[in-house]
Amino acid sequence: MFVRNLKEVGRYLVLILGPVVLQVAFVSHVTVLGVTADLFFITTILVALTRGRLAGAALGFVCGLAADIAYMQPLGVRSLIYVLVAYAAAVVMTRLGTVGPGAMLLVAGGLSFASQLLYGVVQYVTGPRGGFLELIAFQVLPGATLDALITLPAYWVLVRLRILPPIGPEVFATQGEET
Amino acid sequence: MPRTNTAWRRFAFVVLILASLALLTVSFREAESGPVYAIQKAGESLLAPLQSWGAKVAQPFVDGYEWFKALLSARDRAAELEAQVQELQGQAMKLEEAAEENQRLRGLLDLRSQDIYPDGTDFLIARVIGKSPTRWESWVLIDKGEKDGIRPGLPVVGATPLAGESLAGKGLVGKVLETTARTAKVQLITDPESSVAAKVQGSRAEGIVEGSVSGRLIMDYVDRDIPVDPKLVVITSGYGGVYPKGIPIGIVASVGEEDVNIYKEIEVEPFVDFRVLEEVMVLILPLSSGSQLGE
Repeated sequence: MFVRNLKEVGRYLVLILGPVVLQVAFVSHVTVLGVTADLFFITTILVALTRGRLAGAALGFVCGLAADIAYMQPLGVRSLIYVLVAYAAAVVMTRLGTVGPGAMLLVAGGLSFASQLLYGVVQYVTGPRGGFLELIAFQVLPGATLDALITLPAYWVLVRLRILPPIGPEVFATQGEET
Repeated sequence: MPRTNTAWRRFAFVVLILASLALLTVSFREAESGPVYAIQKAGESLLAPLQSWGAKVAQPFVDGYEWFKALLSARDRAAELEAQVQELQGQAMKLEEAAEENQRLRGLLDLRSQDIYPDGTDFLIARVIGKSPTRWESWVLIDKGEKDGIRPGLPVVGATPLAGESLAGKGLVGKVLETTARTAKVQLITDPESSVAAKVQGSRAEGIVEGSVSGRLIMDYVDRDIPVDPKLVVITSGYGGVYPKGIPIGIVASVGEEDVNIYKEIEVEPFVDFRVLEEVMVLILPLSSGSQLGE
């Protein structure tokens, strides 16, 4: 029991520290379609889809804090967004009843779009004003596409490494109980 | 406290939302000396070496990715650069042309600044737009005419790019022969019909500089008793009423003397290179100066 709990703690540590290291050290230096992928978001989505909304929300909160620190943003902005995203991901998955590769792609892309839009609105309110359509065209859409495309291989890798469980009927059952 | 599992989860979710909002509020309201700000600063300092190290490690991969991207767009880029090169070559040619034109116009201004023209003389710069088609006559057509105040008989000077002598390139071109409203025909001093009263600077020699079909300038009617050395400058003498005194014509190239001829025959090398004449300056002399055709 103790070893099992210890393994679980280790997995969560990997799920928190892994994105921090990878995002800060590598991913933030690589630009694709003019944007960089958001590993914090992808991890939050995957944890919400595989472990349920609470685990997803909690991890989203921590990942959001890490992201705010890493990107030197006011603390709490991304935490709030990732908590909401995790909850929404779990709800969508429960409604769908199944999450195949296509659905996962759509969920990740759609929620990335929503989260970046939300973040853009926060930036718009607090920071320098920019064009809304430019925000959509040059940041939100490419960002959502990139996040969605990375979510599938990230899921495959994390399941192979046994850090995340595969999405199965028991996960849906748990999600169903919560609603 | 929530009693069921579901209620507890909902409670936790609400707590996370509230915590985020609280953090957000504190972040925006707190001064830079506050604890949240200090925590963030500490976090940033922890991550800074990681970012720096990551940047170094990631750089080869980033370079590789950029190289691959560049490879994909290399063809388009090459075409774009080729177009740019052509455009720049065109611009360079234009600039070179402008520099040459500038040099020529500066030469004309040098001529203008010489204090040899009668009071009230106006100076009009004109562009050469045509040339005589045969060697039997030597004239150029300029783009200024009667409407610009040009009338037959006015002297014309010019400047062409030539290195060497201080006066090289700047000198007498000829005189206006005919005019229309917007153009004028300028007879060059190399025209076989042209004759210019001239004298050799540094000597008392005077004579008439005449053109020829071969394009050479010959100074005739020079007293053979007056010594003339090569390389001396030949200028207008002012006799005849067409050309003001002192306009440079050329330099003495060679001096010929024949026993049967009572005059020296001096070959003059003109300062102006008539083959590359592109702009000229018409000296619009005041009417009272008595300029008239035929010297």
